[in-house]
Amino acid sequence: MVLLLAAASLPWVPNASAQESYRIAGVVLDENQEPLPGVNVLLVDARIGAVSDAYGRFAIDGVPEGSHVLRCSFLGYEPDTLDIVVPTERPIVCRLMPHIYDAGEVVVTASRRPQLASDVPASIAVLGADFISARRIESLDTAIRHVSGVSVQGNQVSIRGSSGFAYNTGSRVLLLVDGMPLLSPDTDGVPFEAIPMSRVKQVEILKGPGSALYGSGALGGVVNIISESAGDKPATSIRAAVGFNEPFRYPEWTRKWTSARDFRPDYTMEITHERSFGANASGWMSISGIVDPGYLNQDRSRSINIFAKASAGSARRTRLDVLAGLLIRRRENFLFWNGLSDALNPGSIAISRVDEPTGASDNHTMTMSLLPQLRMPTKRGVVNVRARFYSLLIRPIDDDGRLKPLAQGTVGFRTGAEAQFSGELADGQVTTGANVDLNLTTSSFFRTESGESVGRQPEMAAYVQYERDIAQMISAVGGLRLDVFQVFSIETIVHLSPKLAIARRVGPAISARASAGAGFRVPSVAERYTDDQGYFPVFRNLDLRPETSISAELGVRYEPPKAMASVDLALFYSRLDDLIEPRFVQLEDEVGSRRLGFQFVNLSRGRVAGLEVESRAALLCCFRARLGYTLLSSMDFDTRRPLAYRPQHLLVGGIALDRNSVTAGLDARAASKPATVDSDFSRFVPDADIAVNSIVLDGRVGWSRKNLRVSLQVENLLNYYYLERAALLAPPRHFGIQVNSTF
Amino acid sequence: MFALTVILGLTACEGGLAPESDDSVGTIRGTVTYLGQWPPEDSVRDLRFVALRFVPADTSDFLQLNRIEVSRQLEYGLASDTFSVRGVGTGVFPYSGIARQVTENLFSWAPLGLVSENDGVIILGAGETIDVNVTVDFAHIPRFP
Repeated sequence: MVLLLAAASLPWVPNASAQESYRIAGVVLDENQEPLPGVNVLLVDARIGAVSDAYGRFAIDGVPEGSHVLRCSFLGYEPDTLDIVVPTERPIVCRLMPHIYDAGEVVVTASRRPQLASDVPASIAVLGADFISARRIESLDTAIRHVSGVSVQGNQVSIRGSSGFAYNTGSRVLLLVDGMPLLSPDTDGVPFEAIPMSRVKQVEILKGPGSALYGSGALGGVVNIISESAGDKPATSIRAAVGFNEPFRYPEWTRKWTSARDFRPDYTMEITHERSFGANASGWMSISGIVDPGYLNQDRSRSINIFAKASAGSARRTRLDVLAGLLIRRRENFLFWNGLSDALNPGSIAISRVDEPTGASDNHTMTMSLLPQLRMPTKRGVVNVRARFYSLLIRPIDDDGRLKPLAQGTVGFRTGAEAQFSGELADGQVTTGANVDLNLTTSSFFRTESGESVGRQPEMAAYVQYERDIAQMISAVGGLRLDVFQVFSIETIVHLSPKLAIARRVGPAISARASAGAGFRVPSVAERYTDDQGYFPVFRNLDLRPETSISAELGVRYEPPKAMASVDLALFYSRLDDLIEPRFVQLEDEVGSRRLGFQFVNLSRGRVAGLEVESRAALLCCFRARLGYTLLSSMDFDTRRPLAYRPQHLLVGGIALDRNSVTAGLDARAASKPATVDSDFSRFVPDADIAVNSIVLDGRVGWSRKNLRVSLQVENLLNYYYLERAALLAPPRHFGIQVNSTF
Repeated sequence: MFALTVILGLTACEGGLAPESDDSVGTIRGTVTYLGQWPPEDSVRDLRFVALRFVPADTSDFLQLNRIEVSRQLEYGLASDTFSVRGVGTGVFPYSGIARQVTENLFSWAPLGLVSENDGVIILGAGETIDVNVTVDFAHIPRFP
């Protein structure tokens, strides 16, 4: 500490210049008397300033003689304001204490740097660790279903109607883990088990296109999982859960699958250990296993997930974080039912010659991920260097439960690196970076231009975003990203994604925002190259173009200080072009024969407009309530009908009690039935054109004492039968009990 | 939130999706008679009785499988055969007959012979069993309408 002050004091001796100005210098310390880098230090009256360096030191030149007000501010800390007289013979020391926010959440997704959620000129939702741990949330999809404007159909996430049911062929929402795209957007949907939810610090959901910062895949929005770091003290946590689905009440269904009459338990066990290694290193490891008999015939799954995070260094100095994971899963995939009269059994295509159902597909999946991230504070900001290694192996399982050769499955590999700088520049905040990614997917179903079964789609990108105050209480953000994709060897796709946003604070309680941006998604390798003339004909399409979107949003947020309540209203509009969907087509092959089959084509042009209202409040002694409503109006410009599988109304709400050692809560969500479904899917799958409103109410009660917490959850409390997606019944009422213990 | 819970609860009282009543199904059964020389076996990859709830314009229109009732696979090379399709939802079937899959392509289907009784229209009521007869004359194979 003495050395630090001495170091900081070296330049503090003022040096008079010809204009009678001086140089002042000092140091910024936190509550532990540790130096705090990256702090904005501003001479308020002179409007000149500096940023503290990695050792907390700062220096400002050209300070006029006389009295001044010096303000040190840093996100998450109470600002420190000092009256100083220049020239001064004493070192300047700013001391910042952590700020306890009443309702302000810090987010990182909107600008790739920490910001208060209320300052972000975009719609962003945050699910914290408390929200997740209070519920039986084993995977990401279970969590984000509680977010206003978000719907999940199978493994497809739709934010404000960005996507319908897309046949597991590509996600229009980008998944990030600690800011890194874990998978390429061509993976079949969002990998919901990407990280154990018990080690998630928060989940941020950016609504609207995010391609100006994140590139392909962020057509409809971004979901960013922020992982928890290990604490200083060694701790071991055990979580055990058991549950069962209530038997279906209709004998017409259970007669055709008698197991649906039984209470069939599902089990979850997770062990997590965290500890520090010396003063500057720590880590955690989580091992979890899930055995789920499923609620449908041929819907069983078993999985083991091993995930670890290791950290070295200080949060305010150079720091290395490494996430590593291995997920092994054996799963029966129930694809579609055998009609409404036989909803619990997988269906078959009526003209297929095989006796076994084709509405199910069993496979063994192994995913491995390694995500190192190096964070280096500099004099003007922070440099992040990230890398990612990811591999996916899918092996089909035959009727006898044996693994088929890998040659009949899919192998995917992705590796990439990214460098990013975020800091002060020219009176504003700049975030800029570049990344390179290589990916490769091989499948027995692929046929590329040269007839290979290996699809490649390397990509490069560079982006910049600049934010600054343009007037009192008004800030502006502008961003641009250039993405270059090489589609095998014959074609390069170049895409520019701009973004512009303005935020204005109107008094202490109200903030308004306006934003516009673009999004896109490059066709996946599977969509482009799948070519199977076997049992179920699918034709490749080498001419697929990227899907694109242009969106705009107006929003206003009312959040009175210390009122513990907020209301947010957003109006939004998105134009969607070249949406990729499978279609039943008739093609001529090389010898002129006409053949029928499916093909992914750029089909839809449309728009989604709507409004969203979200409110939160703390009530009485110990209640918290939230309510969100989204109105969606979509239109397919070609058919003049609503876009397929988009509900018009989405509603989420919840109330939670937290008093002493008891917690309880109700969570509700509802969606109106979509006005339009896909006619091509429903022509082959029985009753796939059936749509229904979804109404789900979950309840929970918990009790905790010292290191033990016991909770009882009932999901789908009303036992309302609705659709998870087209031709797939959603789970019935589920009872579960969960025990957490930390020691 | 309480009001929301009540509203959702009341709305959900009807319970959501429910199976169709088995009372609304019937059975179509019949006999097919084959006349003339069977075509090569590799041009009859599959053979079934199909009852359509619509009149198809062409092959791709024919493949609206959710509006078709299909029998089990029939045998190749016989002089006559029988079929039965149970659990068929009630309704009107204006176009029915024997169809074959011509090539390996799952979707390459074409008619071989059509139901001609009652102008080719089958009307199936709840709990009914309808008997039909189909003649396939390989010398006069029908085309799509």
